[in-house]
Amino acid sequence: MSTVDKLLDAEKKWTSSVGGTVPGESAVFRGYDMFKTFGEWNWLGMFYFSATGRKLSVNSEKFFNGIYSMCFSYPDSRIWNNGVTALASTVRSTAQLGICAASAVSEAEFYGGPPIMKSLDFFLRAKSMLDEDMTLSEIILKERRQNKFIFGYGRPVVSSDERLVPMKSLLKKLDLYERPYVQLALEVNEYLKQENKGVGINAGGLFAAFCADEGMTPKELYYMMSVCFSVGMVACYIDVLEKEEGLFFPSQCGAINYSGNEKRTW
Amino acid sequence: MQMEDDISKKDALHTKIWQEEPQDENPFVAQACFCSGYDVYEDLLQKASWFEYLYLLFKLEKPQPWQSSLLEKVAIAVANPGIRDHSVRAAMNAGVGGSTSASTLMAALAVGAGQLGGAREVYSVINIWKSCQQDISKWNEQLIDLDKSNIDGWPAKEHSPGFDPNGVTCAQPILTTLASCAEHKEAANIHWLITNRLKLEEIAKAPLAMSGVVGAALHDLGLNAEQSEMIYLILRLPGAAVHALEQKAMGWKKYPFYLDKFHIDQVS
Repeated sequence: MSTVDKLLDAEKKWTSSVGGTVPGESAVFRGYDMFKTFGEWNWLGMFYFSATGRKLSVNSEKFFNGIYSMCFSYPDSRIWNNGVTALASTVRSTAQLGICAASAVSEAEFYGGPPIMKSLDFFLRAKSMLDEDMTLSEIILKERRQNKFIFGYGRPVVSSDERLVPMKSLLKKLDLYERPYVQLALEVNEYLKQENKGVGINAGGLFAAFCADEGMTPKELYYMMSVCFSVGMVACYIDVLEKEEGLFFPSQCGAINYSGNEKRTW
Repeated sequence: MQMEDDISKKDALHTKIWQEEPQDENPFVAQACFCSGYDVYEDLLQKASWFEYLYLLFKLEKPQPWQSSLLEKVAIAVANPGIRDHSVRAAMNAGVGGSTSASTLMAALAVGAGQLGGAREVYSVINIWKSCQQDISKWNEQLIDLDKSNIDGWPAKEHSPGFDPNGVTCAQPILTTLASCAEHKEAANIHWLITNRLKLEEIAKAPLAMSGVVGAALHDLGLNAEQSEMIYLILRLPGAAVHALEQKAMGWKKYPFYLDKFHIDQVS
């Protein structure tokens, strides 16, 4: 088909493979009647179904809910993405704008979804390298040569990660701890600990390992993380809104540390 | 400017772009603002054009006349990508439903950020210029080297950056923009693009796109990939804004909903 024919054909109709609505009649989601099927589903389980086309097991859904609730919902306006919501609030913009912008900002190089995707990718590759009889030491060396970091290990601002203990505890409680990728992640952690460089597994790394055990791809994980920080953002917005406008960390002229060109005339 | 004694160094905002002098009575209000050393309100406001100032902001130096003129040509060429453009349609979707103005522009930015005619395509074009310069044999390799192994949010590239996979021949507005940019003899990459356009189109198996022209012009201006991506996002917003406002005023009943063109593939 020629380029123009292809466009003319596409102009006539769109065929969706995920569903849609017949206005006034029904709604279909991935082949299921939405009103007959999803009324009692957990919303996060539905989100997973949307992202992957698969249904979570009861315990995995509980873990997703647990980690999203206790680890990805910090109401702390200092965190860079949450700070966007707080700034939107202090200038009296809308919560929706602040939260959407902050969610978009969460797609960052060293926090949010992408590093966790890269961590999942690392675990998938590491497992297949181990299966090909490479040692953990060789794998880590190779990874550092290629990517400088081991994604899922280390943390900006502070090195320790307070989320690990409750995450491990929840994984154990739900019988999700003794699975291959979580165990691999912990083995890598032990190896790095022996190096004494202060780099240990972070919550994203452990979450990525759980996702690998679930059979998720990095892209599926990315989709799942697209709105995962929004719970904390709502709280940040409200916190700042309850104070006077303009009072979220105001910055005075003297806070600018200028190191550019000297004063000059155009 | 020296930092105030009571502001700790770690809470300072470090910059080579912007300097302020506070009012005597209120340290939170600037008495004077300087951009790369130039007094913005006492000097630039009287003497500089918008595109000279825009260039200064990105490059920290006053542009040569050809540089601000080339930037202005690019800005005019992309200010309104047109009512059918994906990013403009996204903005109109926001407008027609009565969404907030900021969400309208956020919609245009999100869609206009893409790799098909959007800012990420310009980013990729600049990176190709950076690695190939004016060596056609390198372009021959790079244009068809579509990296599919990225582990981030960007979907894999599906066409050669800077070329239109849905085009048949190069569109007249693109050729005219290219020729207009070439009025500046200093725009060496634009001139090289004109000389080699047909060869490059053959390699890419697609005609030159506006993102390809803009990429060459911004590379001529010495902007890197990230700067070019940002400028392209900024410069395309006016069209999105006015079309969204127009559709908002006309109302949703005059806006396509594709009611009978949407079909559901029953997979279950």
